[in-house]
Amino acid sequence: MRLEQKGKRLDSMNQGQKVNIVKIHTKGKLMHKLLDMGFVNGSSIEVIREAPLFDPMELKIHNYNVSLRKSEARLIEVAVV
Amino acid sequence: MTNIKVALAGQPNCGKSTIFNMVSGIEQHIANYPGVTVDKKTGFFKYDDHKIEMVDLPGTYSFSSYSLEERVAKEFIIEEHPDVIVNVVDASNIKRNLYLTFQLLEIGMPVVVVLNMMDVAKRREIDIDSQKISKMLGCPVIEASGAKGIGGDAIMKAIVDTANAKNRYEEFRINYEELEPHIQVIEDAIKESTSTLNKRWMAIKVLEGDTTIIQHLKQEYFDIEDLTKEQVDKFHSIYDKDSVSFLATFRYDSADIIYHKTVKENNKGKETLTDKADKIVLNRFLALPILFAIMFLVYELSIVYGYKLTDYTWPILAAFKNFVIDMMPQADFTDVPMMTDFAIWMVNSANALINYIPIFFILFALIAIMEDVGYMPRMAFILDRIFKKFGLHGQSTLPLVLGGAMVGGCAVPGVMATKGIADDRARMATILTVPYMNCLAKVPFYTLLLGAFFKPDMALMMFFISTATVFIALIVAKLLTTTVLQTRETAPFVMELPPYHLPTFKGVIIRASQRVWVYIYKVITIVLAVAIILFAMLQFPGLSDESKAKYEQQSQKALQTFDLKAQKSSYYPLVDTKDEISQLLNYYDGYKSKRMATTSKDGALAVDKTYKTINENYFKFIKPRRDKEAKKINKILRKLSKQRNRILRNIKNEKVENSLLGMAGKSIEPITKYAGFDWKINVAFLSSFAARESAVATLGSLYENNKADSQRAEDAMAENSGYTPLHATAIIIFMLLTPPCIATMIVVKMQTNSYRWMLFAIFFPVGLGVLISSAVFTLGSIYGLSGVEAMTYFYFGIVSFALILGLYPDKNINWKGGIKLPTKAKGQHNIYDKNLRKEEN
Repeated sequence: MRLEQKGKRLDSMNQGQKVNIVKIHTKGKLMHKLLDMGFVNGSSIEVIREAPLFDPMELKIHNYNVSLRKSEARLIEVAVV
Repeated sequence: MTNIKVALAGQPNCGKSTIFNMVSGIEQHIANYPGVTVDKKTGFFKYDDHKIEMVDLPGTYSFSSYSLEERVAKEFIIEEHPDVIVNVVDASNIKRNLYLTFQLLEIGMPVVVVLNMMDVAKRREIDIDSQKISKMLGCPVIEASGAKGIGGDAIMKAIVDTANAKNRYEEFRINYEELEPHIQVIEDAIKESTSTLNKRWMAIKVLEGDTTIIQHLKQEYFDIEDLTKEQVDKFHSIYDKDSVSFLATFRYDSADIIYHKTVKENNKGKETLTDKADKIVLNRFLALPILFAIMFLVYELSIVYGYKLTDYTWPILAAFKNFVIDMMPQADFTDVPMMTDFAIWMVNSANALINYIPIFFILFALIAIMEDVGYMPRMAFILDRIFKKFGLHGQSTLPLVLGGAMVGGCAVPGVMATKGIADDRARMATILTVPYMNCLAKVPFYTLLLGAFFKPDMALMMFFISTATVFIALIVAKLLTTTVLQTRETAPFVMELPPYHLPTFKGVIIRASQRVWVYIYKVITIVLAVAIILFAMLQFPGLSDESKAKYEQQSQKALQTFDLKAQKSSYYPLVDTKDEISQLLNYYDGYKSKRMATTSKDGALAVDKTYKTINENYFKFIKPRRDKEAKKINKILRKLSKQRNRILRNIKNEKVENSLLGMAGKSIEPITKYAGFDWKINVAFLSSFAARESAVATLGSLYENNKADSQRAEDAMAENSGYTPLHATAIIIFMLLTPPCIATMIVVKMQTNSYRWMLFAIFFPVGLGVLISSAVFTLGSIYGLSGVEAMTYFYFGIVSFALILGLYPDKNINWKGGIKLPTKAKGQHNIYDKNLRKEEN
């Protein structure tokens, strides 16, 4: 429950919403991978769509498209622009 | 003439391989990087008196050690010291690509940047000032388009110029501001290192927690890890920043500066073609139908039409077989030389595999097209949710479909297609489950059993067989990923969905041919070695002396009868010795097999003509037409041929029964009897391991009825085997679970890079098969189930089990590991997992 109080999570964003990354709540391998793919603090993300089976989701970041499972999107704290 | 060594680096989907193909032409060499299954492609070309060797590094988003590809790429740079690094950058996606460029520049080796896909950028009206980029980065920047074949010469020139100007190279450095003092501390500490690598780069990498560099330095500085931790902690306490994300953010900001100063996007925010296409391809309601349609198309084109294509290639193989048989010593009545037997066995084994080459070529070309177009990651995106449930990955879709999601596929290309799966655990699980899918070569075997025991329910049984495999594969995948594969590394599903691209013809053909070649030289050679062993095991120890005498007597009798009757014909002098009769028989058999290999009328006439020229008299006996005397010979000749074949078959059966393989089949009867298998079935399973096609031939010959030669194999089996349909069900279930063939096992070895996994891939399914078919047979016998009933229970059993597993909610954290130091690895996981759990609560 602690998480929800802190701010909005990427996985709960709807199609077409534009957000900025506030903080990424993870470490290690996933953190490295996210950083390498451009998920750095302050980057803006647009939610393009959900997969036909509702998970994963497709995002636009740094002008390219990437897919992320919701379990991982949950770890990214965002602020709606 | 000087040699220049070049490393070609770039992010995935930047069109690196089109650049590679453009500059290096077709003179390419493929190997694996040492100890891993990552392809290492090397190209050789000449430019201006320089010999250039270009190594295609695996595509990586970054240059840390967090994936196998990144580690492999970095190890190459460390160990091989290339003269120049060529960095391919997607011009239509500059910002993210420059992130890697900065990391490459920091290495401290000369870099040449190639702006690829300039044509795409132009089409999207993206203006790029490449000269300004060159100035800002301090390295040559070449505009190119690999797909259109533009820029090849300029790239080669830049490589040569850069290599020649090597001594004027000035170190590239980013000012990391507040991190600088900490970089300096580490750099000072390793100042005395004998490593030829750039010290500042190593210092930065160490602060990023890069294990490859830490290991590299540890040889000289055993306390490097403690030293680094101290600096990282200090940095954290002063600025409340994490050094890893600080470095990444800094590089992205640098890339952003370049992007804003040199790139002008005139169409920003406008929908691209890819965006439009994805609205349909990834549409909630259309995505799945489109995916099934594409899979169906791939299946139709490769398996169905490819199989039809083998109608044209098979006669070539049959001709090859006849050619080899002609070369071998001929049979002397019932005495067939072992040499000839061996040659036939080997040619049959080879042909069974070579026959698949047309199918494989089409398949590999289609896969290459789908890879180049960019559909693969979209397929993963669409189906990931289902596969994730069973421990697999969205990218497992294609391998499983190729393995035979419908009536039949082939596990060899299926297992080979697992290469791109990023998640190691899911990749291993896919490799180990693809062999459960429906192998095309098993189909004739099922048809035989269905024809023999399930005539009225054939369609229903075939439906069960062809759909059961998917559920079995999913269950096994879940089973393996939660047990033996549990500790395997997994990768987070952060996957790029690249823009669609038209594939290049050259690229597709090169890739398809390379993969077919791998199949030929790796798989076929080993299968032939196994075929030799199997042949020996079927031949030895051979017949006992009594049996030999018995068969000798039988053939003498047959010859005597022939002789007695032949005396009535005026042609008797032509066939009055055993040699002549043998010759005539061989002539007769040769004619028959060649006549059967031809389908056209002209072909038949040509065969007639050649045989007429070989021996005109013998030809009269085969086609007597109006010649009454020749007709007499023809009649008894046909009878003699039948008798001879019967004797040969009996000899073969007795040989098989007494052979090592026969003994093996018998020795496992005590176990297999619970599944209802007798030794004959066991031998059929064992002997068909080189190629499943031969299972039908073996069973067919073991069950043939000696009296009625015209009886079909199905009927013969139904009448003579003493099996009930329940037996057949147990056999079918076992066949469903057994690994397809030795060729598949070799590709499993290639993809897992381990003999232990290969053995596991053989014995686990066999064990499972014995277990399940025994259970079905035993329970079926107790409850008096019919074969169809038993199969129905089995089918719904596995379907519901798979559904339960699929619907069972899983809250597992599905990434773990990383290439970490062996001693610390465990502790690090724990801290990490604990944090996650805390966060989830």
